[in-house]
Amino acid sequence: MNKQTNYGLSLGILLLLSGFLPARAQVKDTTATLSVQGEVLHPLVLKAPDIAGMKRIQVTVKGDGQDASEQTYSGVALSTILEQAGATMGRQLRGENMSKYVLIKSGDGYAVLFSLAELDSAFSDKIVMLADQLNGKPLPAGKGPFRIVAAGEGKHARWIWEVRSVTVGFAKE
Amino acid sequence: MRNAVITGAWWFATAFAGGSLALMAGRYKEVPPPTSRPPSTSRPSPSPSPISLFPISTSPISASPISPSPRIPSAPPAAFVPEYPSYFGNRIYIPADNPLTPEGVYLGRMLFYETKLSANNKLSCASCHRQELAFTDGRAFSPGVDQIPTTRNAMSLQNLLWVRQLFWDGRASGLEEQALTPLTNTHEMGQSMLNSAAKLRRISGYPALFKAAFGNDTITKEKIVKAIAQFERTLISDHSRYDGYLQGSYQPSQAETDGMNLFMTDPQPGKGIRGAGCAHCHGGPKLFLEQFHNNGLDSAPIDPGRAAVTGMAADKGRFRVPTLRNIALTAPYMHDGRFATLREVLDHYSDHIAEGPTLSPQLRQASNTTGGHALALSDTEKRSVISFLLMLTDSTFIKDPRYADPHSYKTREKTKTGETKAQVSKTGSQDQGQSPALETQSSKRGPQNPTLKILPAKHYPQKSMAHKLIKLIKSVNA
Repeated sequence: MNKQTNYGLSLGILLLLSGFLPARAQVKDTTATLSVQGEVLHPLVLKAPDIAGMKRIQVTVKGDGQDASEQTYSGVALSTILEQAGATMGRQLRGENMSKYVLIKSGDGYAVLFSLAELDSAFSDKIVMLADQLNGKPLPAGKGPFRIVAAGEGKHARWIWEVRSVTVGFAKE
Repeated sequence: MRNAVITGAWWFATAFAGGSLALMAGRYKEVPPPTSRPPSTSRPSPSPSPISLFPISTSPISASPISPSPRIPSAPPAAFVPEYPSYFGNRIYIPADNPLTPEGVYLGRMLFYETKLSANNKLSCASCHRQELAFTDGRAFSPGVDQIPTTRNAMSLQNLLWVRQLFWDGRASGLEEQALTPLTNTHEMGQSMLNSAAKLRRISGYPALFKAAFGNDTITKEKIVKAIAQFERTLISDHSRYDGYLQGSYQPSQAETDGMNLFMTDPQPGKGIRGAGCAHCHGGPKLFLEQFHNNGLDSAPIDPGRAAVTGMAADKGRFRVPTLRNIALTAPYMHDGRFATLREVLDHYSDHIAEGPTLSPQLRQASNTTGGHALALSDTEKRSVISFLLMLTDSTFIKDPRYADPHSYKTREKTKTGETKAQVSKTGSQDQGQSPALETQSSKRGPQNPTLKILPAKHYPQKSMAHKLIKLIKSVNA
């Protein structure tokens, strides 16, 4: 009896998170934030509405896992967020700044790394995106609210789920 | 008469320091530290320290290539650089203010097995972290000094050198911070650090060991946890049959090979590839990742897990991914010890994942059939995976004398074997969790008010390293 109630309750929350009621889900999940920190002039703590209000882009990719159908992710280019935080992008991306990295961490502890240069459009055609929507809906439970989508990469190991922090650092060798 | 026996036992244990240092130095060679994180050797010594007196002993440390003049007392303390297989990687964690030294590690080992650190003088760290069980205790929950059980399962202690966030919920950032909880929690060892320091001060030998490890003989909370952390960082398990396989010296059986393949492979029903998908979280030679996942034990977790630390809804029911090394020895399993056997664990991951809002997406989508919701491994597949898990048992690690109780070497043969430790008798070699020498000494005075005092110098074996050490310390102080 009790188990069934719990199951029903969690199923309800699952539905909320998976986008049947996206507006309420966003209100409920106010604790989810994205920190942009490290070698930046303006460290940021961004919430879902902040990301939603930035310059939007979208990309259509083939699905991963069991689902091979086309999927459209939308969100913000990681470079846009890094520029807003005052990382050394664009004309400043030279000299010692070429040894900077961007470490992205998930809520579960997983972490992936990009070089700062590969996130700059002057260096690479590949656009690495911080996605907050899949096919017009919030990301599925456990993967959102923010996820990296690096279109063009074969393995999706850097498509890190549940992004909580983006840290710019110097490789100090 | 009795006192003489006690004293002999104590000094045998203390003298063993020399032997243990020699052993340690034999295994823990001086090697260049990883350049990204020099653990200790590059750290400048704040001042000349009596620690450097230790190489006076015959320990091979005095032949260390890093200490150019080890026999000169003003030389910086010898570093203790742990040796491990290169496939473990160098993402180790040694705080800058607690570099490993042979003296610190030895003191930590003494303290790890020190029952005086508990309010009733009966429990030590080793009571719940027994070497023969890969430093677990075989129980779901562990009773403390007040007999009230803990709320989570005692974790295995091995390869902690690579761990930054301790406890099932990762709330302690470092072994130093972690040690404070079991030491002081009223349902565990239940003694304030002030009391612990005061009791250690009254036990002969400890002030000298603290001086050797930290440069002076004041005993403080910080030094106690630093020494314990140093010892824990040396607990490295790298002699399993799986290590033999990785090093090319062990040929796995067919069942082990099948199990390893299932373990390492994500299920891909579209391509007809069956897998158990274990390696996504337990992959790599260390067999864990420093991650936190809800592994589907309950659809509505009772224990909030990591959410209690972060306050994030997404972390509810998330617990750290523990290493699977020596997993056959560390039953029962999960943060609450709910599974008694590896078969129950396999059944869980294969067939009984409970869906909930924070269930790890990796488990949510893992299935060996297209559109399925469970791994649904066959009985043979489960047995194969277990065969692989049994390959992870390191019988060297659980018998390694460098990790054993240093207090009980002399007396363990005389201790009664009547204690009911069924599992211990099969694999164990030590009488864990007790320090008979010191215990007897205190019980003479009454356990509530131990008034141990430093014994006269005539009791010290003339040739023991400790004797030399104390003599040298005295001469320096004079």
